[in-house]
Amino acid sequence: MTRCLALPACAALLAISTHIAEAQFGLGDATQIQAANQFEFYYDTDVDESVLDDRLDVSASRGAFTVGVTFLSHSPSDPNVLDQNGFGPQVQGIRKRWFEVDGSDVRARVGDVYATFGRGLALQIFEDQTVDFDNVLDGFYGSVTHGAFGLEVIGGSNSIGEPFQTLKGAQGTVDMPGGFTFGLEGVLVDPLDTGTGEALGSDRLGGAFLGGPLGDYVDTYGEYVVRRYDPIQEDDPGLPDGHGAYANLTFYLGRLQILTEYKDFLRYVTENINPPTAFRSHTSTLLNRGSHIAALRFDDERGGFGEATFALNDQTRLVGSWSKTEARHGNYPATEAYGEIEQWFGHSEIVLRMAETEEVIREGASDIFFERITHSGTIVQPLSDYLSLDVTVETQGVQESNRQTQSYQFPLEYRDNIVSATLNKAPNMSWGLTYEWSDSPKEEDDAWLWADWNVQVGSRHQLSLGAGKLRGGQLCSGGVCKLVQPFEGVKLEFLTTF
Amino acid sequence: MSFPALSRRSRLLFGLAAGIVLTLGATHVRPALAEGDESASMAPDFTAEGLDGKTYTLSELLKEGPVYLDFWTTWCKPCQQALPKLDELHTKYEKAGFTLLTVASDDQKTIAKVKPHVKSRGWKFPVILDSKRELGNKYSVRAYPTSYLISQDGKVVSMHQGYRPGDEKVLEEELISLLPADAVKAASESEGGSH
Repeated sequence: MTRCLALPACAALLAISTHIAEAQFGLGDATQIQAANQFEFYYDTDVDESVLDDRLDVSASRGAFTVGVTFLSHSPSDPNVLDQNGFGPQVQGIRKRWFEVDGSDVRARVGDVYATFGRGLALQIFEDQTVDFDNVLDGFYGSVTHGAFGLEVIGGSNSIGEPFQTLKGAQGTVDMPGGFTFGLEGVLVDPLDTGTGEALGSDRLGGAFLGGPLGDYVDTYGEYVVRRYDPIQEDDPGLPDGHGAYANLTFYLGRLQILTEYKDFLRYVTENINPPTAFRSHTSTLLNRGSHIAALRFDDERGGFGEATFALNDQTRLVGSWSKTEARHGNYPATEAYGEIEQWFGHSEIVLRMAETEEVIREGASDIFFERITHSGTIVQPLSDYLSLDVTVETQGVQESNRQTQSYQFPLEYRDNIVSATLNKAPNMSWGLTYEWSDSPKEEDDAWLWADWNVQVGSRHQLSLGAGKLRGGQLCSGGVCKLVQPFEGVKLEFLTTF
Repeated sequence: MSFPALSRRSRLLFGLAAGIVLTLGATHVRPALAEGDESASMAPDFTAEGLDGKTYTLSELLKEGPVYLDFWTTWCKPCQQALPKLDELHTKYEKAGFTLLTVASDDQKTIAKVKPHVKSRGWKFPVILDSKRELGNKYSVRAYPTSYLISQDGKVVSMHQGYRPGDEKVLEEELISLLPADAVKAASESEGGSH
């Protein structure tokens, strides 16, 4: 079943397995089984189409050895019309499979593999199920630590979709005095023509990072990666060297914490990376929708982020942040100023948020300027020991104008609003109602109402049932965003974990 | 893997059947293995370094008493509602042998925010960084927060996803049943005295 790409890698894995088996067999002689199943059904009444998705993850461990497999069943009534999870055409079968040996200082895995070097500037192969992102590789991963030294290697080709690249990478780290860590990283990617499978060129990334504490009051981190792309075709001029840089300083000053981040990317549009955004990730729906994170331009972007958090007392916490980014050559500025107050009144909690964001986004041949002013508030009010009400109100005023036509004289103005209320019954049930309305002339609808019911069945099953109309738009999770299509109908989700 | 052209109804029925089979398959994995195998619901052991620089090993912590393992992120709203409540439980029952061990699952994009996030709130419980989601994968974490209450013999007593205000009271009841009665009494008296 497992397609082992590199024979030497398989041989190495076998040798490592044998070594660990000799060292550890008998210590963990009980077999552990882990399984999780996610079943989702949704029916869109607007387009009269439905989808059934089911994902089953199973892994079995014995001692240092683990084998895992992921089954996926995706059955859309018409994949061209309705596919909220972005799985594409109908799929039934094994999505991922892997075998892993995990010793105390040696780890090896074949099959579907993941890895992150540094802070993700040179390489981050990862999965985020919230936004259905997965750039998993089919290949080999290994790591060894010996005292203060560490080494990680990875190799393979993309596991999902048509093959479009092969990748090899390595990272070496050394723990230094004072708690600092220094690392060197290198990644070699050969992009492939998806039609012919032939190599198109060579994409090389090489860099270093250093991070650690300066006493009890400051944490530091810096990483710099150079990118060089050499095409194979003679008529392709290639690109001058590009780079990616990231730095972080955090100060701990009693009740005050200050976080600062700096980023600089130039000619750095490459697969397999996921560096820090140096922009705020929000919990607010409207702020997430208008976040600059989805519009990051790795071909030319630099800027910084600063956030101060101050605990006034045990009941009050203040957050203020400011971020600014722009393109060195194209000038696409984006700024965001954000403030938050979190206040506890006994068992009640109130959070008030306000943000002002401005950015220019290239849309076709036009540069569109957006200004958004957002106010948001959440109150969590216990009604009894086990019953509570959670209410959130968000409102966002938007001004939109075309810089080419100087339409700022008559900007497009509209307001988006959301009110949501959730009644929680601990420990296993909640009912939610979300009403959203907008006077945006760009929307076909002007109101959306969604009701949902969540129940935990036993300690290992969770059922969610929702019905109504969802607006869609940008959905972000941990700094990764995707566009979700509007939806009208019913959704059922059943999650089982063992 | 693509299937040959089937009618819309056939595809839907096939998908439904596959979903049911897989769901039932998952549902039956544990009971089938649990028969005669007491280890089926054992919590996977691990060793990890905390934000405070200390090394935490689950099996070592369990020698002191039950452990509540909580997976969270800085951008998860219910996580932020739950953690102050868990911190109160940690403070109250720490001397009784209870350990609240939390796992910050922020990835490389937001990992820099974890430490100031924890320090600004003055949380005293240990926090492990799991930016590569290795520990999360070991515990099949699919959403945040996800929590496991692990008894002193290493068994998963309960697993919980999400947070609803009041969950901490249910957890406290479960926790009390796992702690020695005299230690619980001392913790309650100590809390009463501190007020």
